Amino acid sequence: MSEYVIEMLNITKKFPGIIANDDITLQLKKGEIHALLGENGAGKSTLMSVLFGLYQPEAGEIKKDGEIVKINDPNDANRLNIGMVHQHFKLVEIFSVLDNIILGVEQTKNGFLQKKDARRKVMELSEKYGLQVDPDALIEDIGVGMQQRVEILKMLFRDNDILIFDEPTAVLTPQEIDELMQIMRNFAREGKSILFITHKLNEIMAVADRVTVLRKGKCIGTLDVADTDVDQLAEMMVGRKVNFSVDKAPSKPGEPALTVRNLMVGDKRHTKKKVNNVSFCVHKGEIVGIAGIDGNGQSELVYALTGLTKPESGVVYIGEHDITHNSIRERNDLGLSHIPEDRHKYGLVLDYTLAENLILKNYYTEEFQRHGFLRFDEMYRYSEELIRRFDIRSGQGSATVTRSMSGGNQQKAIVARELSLQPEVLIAVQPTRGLDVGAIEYIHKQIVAARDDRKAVLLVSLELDEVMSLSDRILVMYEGEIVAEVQGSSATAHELGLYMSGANRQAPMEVEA
Amino acid sequence: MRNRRNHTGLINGTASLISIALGLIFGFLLLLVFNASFAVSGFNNLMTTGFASSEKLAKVFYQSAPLLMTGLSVAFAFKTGLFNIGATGQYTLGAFFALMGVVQFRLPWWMGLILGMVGGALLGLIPGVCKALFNVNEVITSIMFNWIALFAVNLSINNMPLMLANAWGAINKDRTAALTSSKFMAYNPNATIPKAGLDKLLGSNYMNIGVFIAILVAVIIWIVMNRTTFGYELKACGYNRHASNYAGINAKRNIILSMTISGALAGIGGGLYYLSGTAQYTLVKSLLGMGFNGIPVALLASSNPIGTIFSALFVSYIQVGGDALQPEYSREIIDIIIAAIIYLSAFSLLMRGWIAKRLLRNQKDNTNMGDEAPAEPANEAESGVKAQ
Amino acid sequence: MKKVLSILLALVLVMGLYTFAAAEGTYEIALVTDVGNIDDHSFNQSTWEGVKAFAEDKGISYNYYRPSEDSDEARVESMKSAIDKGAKTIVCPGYLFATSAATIATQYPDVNILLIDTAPTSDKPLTNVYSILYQEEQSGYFAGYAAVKDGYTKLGFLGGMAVPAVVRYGYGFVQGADAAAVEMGLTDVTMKYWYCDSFAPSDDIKIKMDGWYTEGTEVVFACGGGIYLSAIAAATAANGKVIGVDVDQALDSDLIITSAMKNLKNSVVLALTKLYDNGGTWGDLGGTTATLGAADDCTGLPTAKDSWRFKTFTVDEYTAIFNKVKSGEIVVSNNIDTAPTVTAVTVDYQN
Repeated sequence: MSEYVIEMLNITKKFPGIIANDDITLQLKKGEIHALLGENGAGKSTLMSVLFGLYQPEAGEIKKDGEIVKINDPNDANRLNIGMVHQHFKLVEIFSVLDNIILGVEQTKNGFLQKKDARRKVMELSEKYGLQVDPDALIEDIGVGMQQRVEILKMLFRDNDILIFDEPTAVLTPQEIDELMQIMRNFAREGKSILFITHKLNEIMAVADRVTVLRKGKCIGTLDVADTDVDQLAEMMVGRKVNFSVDKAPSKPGEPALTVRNLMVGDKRHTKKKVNNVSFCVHKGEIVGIAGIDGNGQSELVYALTGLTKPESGVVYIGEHDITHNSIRERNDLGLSHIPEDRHKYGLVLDYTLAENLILKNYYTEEFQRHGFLRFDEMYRYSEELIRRFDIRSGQGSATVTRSMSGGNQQKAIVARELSLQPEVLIAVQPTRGLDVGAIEYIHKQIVAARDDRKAVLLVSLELDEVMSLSDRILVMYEGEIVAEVQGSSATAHELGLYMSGANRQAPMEVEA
Repeated sequence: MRNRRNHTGLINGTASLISIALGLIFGFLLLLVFNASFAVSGFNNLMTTGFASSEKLAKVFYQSAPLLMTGLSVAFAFKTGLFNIGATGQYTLGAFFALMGVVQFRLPWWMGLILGMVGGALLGLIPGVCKALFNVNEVITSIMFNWIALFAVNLSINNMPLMLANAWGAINKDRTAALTSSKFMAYNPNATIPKAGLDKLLGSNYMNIGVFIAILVAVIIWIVMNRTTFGYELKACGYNRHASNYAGINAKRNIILSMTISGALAGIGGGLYYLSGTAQYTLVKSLLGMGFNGIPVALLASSNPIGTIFSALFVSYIQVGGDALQPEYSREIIDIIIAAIIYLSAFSLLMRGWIAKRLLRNQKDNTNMGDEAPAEPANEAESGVKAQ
Repeated sequence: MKKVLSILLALVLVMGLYTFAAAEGTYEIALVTDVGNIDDHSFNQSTWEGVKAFAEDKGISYNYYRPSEDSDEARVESMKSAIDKGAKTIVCPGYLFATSAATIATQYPDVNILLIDTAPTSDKPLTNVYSILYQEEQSGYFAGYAAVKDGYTKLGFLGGMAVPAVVRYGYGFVQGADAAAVEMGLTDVTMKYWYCDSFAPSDDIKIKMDGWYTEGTEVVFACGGGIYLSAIAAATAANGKVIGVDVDQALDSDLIITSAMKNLKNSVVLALTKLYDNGGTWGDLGGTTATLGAADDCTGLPTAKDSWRFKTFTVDEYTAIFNKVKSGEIVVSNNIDTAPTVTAVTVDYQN
């Protein structure tokens, strides 16, 4: 019997023009929590896809309990008792929890579903590991935390003993993260083996036994967590020393730039408001961060502020102007910039060139248009300037189709465009989502620079670290309401976590200005 | 800096040519299957008839004018992210408006064309409005309006005695007035599109300046799409409605405008065909094929307005060549062969993806990408699929 | 790139085959269809049958061409194609050829044109065109006479468009029914009479026919292109009967009791025979229009056993009345300007 339950030996997987996995070896011991660390694009997803039979590697082999196995599709992986909780849950929204768990392995008798045994098994598992779920609730009605538990139960129900967690903490509160860690430790004690994919160093230090670091498709090394520290891991991941803290001077808030009063946004399906009576103010020269777990009304708040949806009631001001009923274009012209949370859906026209995307918000101004005709020379001049200033890298410069650019450079292009509009107010939503450390540092610097340039910045992020390191003030959103306001310098993750989970809230605040 | 654009053009062009070649090979195989002893001479006819005589060339031009317009209509809508399958209805209404102009109101041909444009635009407007305001899929609305247009036009013509052929000396009234009959010429001598001596030059009554009008419109559309802020907005909406909305572009307005313009183009096509003097609108109860043929014309051209000129000429050329397969091949077989060639040719879209991948691979193998790798490979594969 | 190369190679091969270009066929007698096909159960088909019968009998090459669209220009184009392919005689079935046949006749004086069912639209006489018209009123007469004789008393006439040929059929039908009623001493024979303004079947026609059959109409003479399909659809539901037109339509439906025919096939054979007997030119016939009827055996009802579906009316009775018309003893009026006067039948002209 081999020491390892799963071994991926010398795996090489090539895509046109890129080696996604270059001679990577990953060995998972029975009963250990093994972290897989790497930035976006390091090759983690490709490696897992190989393990699940979605890709066939050009070289290398996979062993289960010391025996060479051939995995041609996810069904093979399932037969080898390998299960995975995906970063984006694979659940049928309109099915119940129980139906989702048994989906694909249903027991039938004469063509009819037999759910009784399944229900008993689910309840047993749920109790044994402390995974509380309501088996009859519909997925669309339960929170992300519980949805994740459903995904975990799906693996357990299939008797998987190799469990892969892909970025499982991204959607959880600090308290929920602690719970998840505890559950993972329980699994390991039971003899299950866990592969934990993440880019968060603290979590690895907290829970993992060993860690394998990938960088640009190469395996940098496998270490015992006990023998290493955060700085060493970060350096292995990025390839250089990393400075996590953001250098910034204390803010000097000026007059109000963005004022929101009693804003309400409804929900098509529920009577409960998505944004419930929200009031706050962002001043010139300050960064206000909004913390909260995904789905607590942050997106809807931003849509209402930027004009993508209409609020039910409430007032929004930019400076002195009431913009509640203005069009998106009018808001832009009044100095509102918006880095959207989904750069592919909102931020870019992916089939346009970089130059065309960089003028997406001001193509109609005199600078780029004459008698209805676009001024291409001006467009290219402007684009070259932004590429230089914001260090946007791409294959063919201004003429690159943005679809072919890397995520980091796509995001840089959006940041460049929005900041170059010389906005009064910048609303930045998840500005660094999916980016590598280098790009994150750069964008954070740009946001702080905008603040120091007397812009008002509203930062909405699901990354608590990001909110805490950038914000001068932090507002916490829970179920559509602002439940707390804390000073950025004095906030702790624990305190914010309590607000984010609804366990604690401040007395209703008076709105200033 | 702009070589990327040329690159795309090269890929599209090659893709179209390869598709055409594939279509022709398939057509040749069909010729062999249906009547092997005449396959070679038949293929020869198919390929050369269009240029064999000035008369046939005139027919190529004659048929290509309306094809170009319906192709342009579909291509324009495609570029803006809409599928105008209602070109045939818009074409029909355009034809009716144009004929009504020259017959009922005794207007000159160019006024008829403008009326045709208005007719097509009106019918394009409706699916546009439904899509923009009520989010009703334009495919469904425009298909239904094809039939509504057809029957409304038939009903109207039936109740306009002056429009029918028998008002102008013919015995039948299952079709509209013959615009070149002596009786009609006395009534409105300016009803047909001028021939500008081209009919004498090429020795065919088919010839008029219609094809040049269509080419001019195609060039105008190209300029609008590629050189103006309006085109920039329309394409942005087509590629990504959410992003356009986010950027402050009025996506709803653009959807409506886009469908309206698309309809107007098809309407001009109807006018060009039925004001040629050779064709008479017959009151039949089936949709006109000209509108649907616009779809492969647009696909073959990868929705490029300039490309549409060539693909319309090609489709028309093949149709004229196909006619010359008679009598060894019956008309039905010819229709099958031509349809197979045209539709295989329209596979250029698939072919384009294939060539692009090939080129990209070669390029990446030759030059290292320099900066970071593009996104996650897994995602890239996914988006590649979407892009096609 | 390899695939691209191989495709190009294949293309070059195909091009190479041109050098072996096989001889193209030539066809001496050509039929150009109006817009439809040679299996339309109507004009194109029976004309084609005539061309085929004659040409195969004499061992002459023949073929047919179908225009690319429904326009005079396209018909001209098809006729030119036929001439390019060696046609010395072109047969043109249908009134749609009136203008285009004249155009070709002027342009190609050496080509013989046989024009069926219409005369050319031309100011000058065209010596290379021979036109054939029919005495449709006689066929209609026979159909009306036979129906009443067979015991039907509630008749209907469903005309297509009111073009002269259809009107002649209809008025002949009225005259025949009237003659039979007089002969039998009946006074309760009624006829509904309507033009649907179309040669294509439609729901509107079917609805109208449904009404007729419901009101008691027993048999409808469906006269024009494909509209008989609508009449049959209505008749099937109401258990009524239909009379066909132009050609023997007995095979199309069991409900068709007879067909008012004009013998296109026969007349094409007759005309082509005259042409070839005369050394390949029309001679005296050139520029003339023949109106064929019972005298030339070109109008009548089908008497084949399978097509004869009368209950009591016999072939002998039919032959008797046919001979009377053939000999000129009975003259059926071909006046299409005023409705025929009737003495025994009540005709309800509907709009």
